[in-house]
Amino acid sequence: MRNLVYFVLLLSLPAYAQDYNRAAGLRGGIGYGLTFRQFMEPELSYEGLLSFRNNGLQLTALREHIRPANFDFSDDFYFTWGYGAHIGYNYTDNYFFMFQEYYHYYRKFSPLIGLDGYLGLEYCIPTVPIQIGLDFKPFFELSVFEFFRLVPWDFAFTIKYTF
Amino acid sequence: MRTIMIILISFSLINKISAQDTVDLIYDREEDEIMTLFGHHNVVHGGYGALTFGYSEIENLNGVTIGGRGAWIIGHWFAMGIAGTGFINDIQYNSFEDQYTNLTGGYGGLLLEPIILPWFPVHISIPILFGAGGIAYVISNSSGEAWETPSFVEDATSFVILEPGAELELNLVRYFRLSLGVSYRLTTEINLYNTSTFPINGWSGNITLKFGKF
Repeated sequence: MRNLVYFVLLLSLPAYAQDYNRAAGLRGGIGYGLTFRQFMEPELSYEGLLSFRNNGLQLTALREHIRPANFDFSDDFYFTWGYGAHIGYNYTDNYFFMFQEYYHYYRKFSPLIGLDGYLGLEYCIPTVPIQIGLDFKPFFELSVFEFFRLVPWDFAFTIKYTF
Repeated sequence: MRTIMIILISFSLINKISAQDTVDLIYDREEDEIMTLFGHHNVVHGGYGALTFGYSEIENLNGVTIGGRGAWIIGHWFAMGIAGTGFINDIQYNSFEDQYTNLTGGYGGLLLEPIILPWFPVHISIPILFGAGGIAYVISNSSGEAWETPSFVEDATSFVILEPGAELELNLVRYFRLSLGVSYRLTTEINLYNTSTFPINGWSGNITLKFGKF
């Protein structure tokens, strides 16, 4: 009887793609910084990323789809993919473009705006509310003094607390 | 009998008026709807992200371009978004200054892209970019392999640009398209050290990889 009650309770839980509504944590990589995810629908979330590359500050908003990876060895892996945009600034005297490094004679404040793609694989540790993941976030941006920047290799490690 | 006839006629008139009222209400509701260029109902929305690689002559030297695009597709046949392109031309030795020099920069802005016959596996799109950009005259003091040494931005300026193009687009798979195209850059006057007035005006040949929902 108790098992039946547990089963009914389990069925009544909202069917979120992952068993949490929010996550907050850290992201490494080129766009390293702080990250916060909020689920809006069971398999749809929005993520905000505050990053600090090139002595600047960038705010990225991503719309992400999340699906179970369905690996044979574990049910706790999830694929995520989506897209987004970012806005912010750099404060630097050098930039890298087309295989070459360019220097200004002094640091320049350079406002920027860009678009991002997103692809990730996440693992929710079953026993603790922690999620780790690897993601790939290619982006391009336009900025006042760096003109144009394309970064197709922004790979990162993430660790998040889920709640 | 006459009374019954009068009652029946009255009912039929009332019904007619009511029916007319209903039709008017429906008509009014449709009339109030905002008409759009893409139709009233069932407009399909999609989007794509793209990488673009190109070749172009810049200041009469070989140059390469790399770009990115992100666009919202409305009804399969019109895309609207933003695009950006970076460019660099060949490094040359300037004997007068005893330095290696080249031009580099980038531009970006609003992208409007009509797509002609998008359902066909091979079709045409007309991307038009309108925006702004910057260009830099860079120098390197190294007498060795210039590509491996840092370069300094000697002078830089900005410009406004219009870049219409035409692309032959191949629907390779459902979520991936390959485009081969040409575009022409038109800029405002550029005042840059030791450079002509319109150094990046000209044709460009491009290959574009598009990923998304079309």
